[in-house]
Amino acid sequence: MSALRTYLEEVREGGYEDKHEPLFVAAWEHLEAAYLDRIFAAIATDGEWRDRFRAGARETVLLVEAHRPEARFLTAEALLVGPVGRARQRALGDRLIALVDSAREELEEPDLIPRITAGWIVGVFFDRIYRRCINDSEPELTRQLPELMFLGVSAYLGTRAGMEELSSPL
Amino acid sequence: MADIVRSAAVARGRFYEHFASKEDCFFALYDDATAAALASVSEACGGPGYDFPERVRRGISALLGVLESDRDRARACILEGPAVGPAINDRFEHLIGSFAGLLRSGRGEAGDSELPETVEETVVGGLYWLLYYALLEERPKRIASLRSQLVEFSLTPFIGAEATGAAKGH
Repeated sequence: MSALRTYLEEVREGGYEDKHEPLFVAAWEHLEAAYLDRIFAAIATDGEWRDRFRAGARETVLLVEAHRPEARFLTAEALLVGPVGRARQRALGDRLIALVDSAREELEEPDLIPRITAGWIVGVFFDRIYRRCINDSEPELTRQLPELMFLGVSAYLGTRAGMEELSSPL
Repeated sequence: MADIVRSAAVARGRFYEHFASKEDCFFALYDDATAAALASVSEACGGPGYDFPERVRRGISALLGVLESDRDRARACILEGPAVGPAINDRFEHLIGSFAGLLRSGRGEAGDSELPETVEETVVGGLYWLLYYALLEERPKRIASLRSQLVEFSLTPFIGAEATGAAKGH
């Protein structure tokens, strides 16, 4: 039985309690490692930041659509756990922020764009994934991807570059 | 429940005269606080004669003012809201949708007709999670220091970086 299924079965009846923390952590660590493996494989190219960003974003939305229970656990159910879940999400978010923030290495004036911009981009993606996970009637993320790419790319490379993403194929 | 009635200095029976449950009590707080925040922002950015960037600037300032004025209430809604679980989902969607509606009032005026219909919701969603983590940090000046960036993130997708820079310096 997977770590996630074990955890979900344990908390199904009475909800999360402190005694469930080891099960939560085991499930989190397993899924986080699997997700990051896929992301790092997807962005392992010699291309520019924009290509790596697109590859990572595409992989993320495809994973969410293909593995909804796992995505729901990492986004929505982790928030039900309290400080432990928030800390885990925060740590994962920081790793993703660092990846997005690497865009500045390709800019002539990297200091013009603060690190918090990457935090906002990760927040934008997280919000769409979170809402997709808590509400099945939200648009499929594959349909939202051009819009998400538009926001991410235009934040670093300008509106014209961002607009190109609206017509890019998945 | 014991903690709630003790800190509120009311008898348990008295509590249940007003609320059916802990969850009912939380939703009363959530509904009241989010409606007040929405009213403040709407009033701040709804005055006559303001252009789109000015409305956004005023709206963001009003929102941060509300959060700063009662940090405990802000934390209760923004941090604890998603921790309630599925029962909060409709309220969360309504909250994001309501603020997105205010941002959408600048459509057309900002020359952004090519953008997808859902961009405003996506932008507001990203702002929500930035505020979430700012509140989580518990640094008193953190919220106010976000003002300039939140304005930028709210404007850039619609009017571009150059016009946003000019608007920020206004």
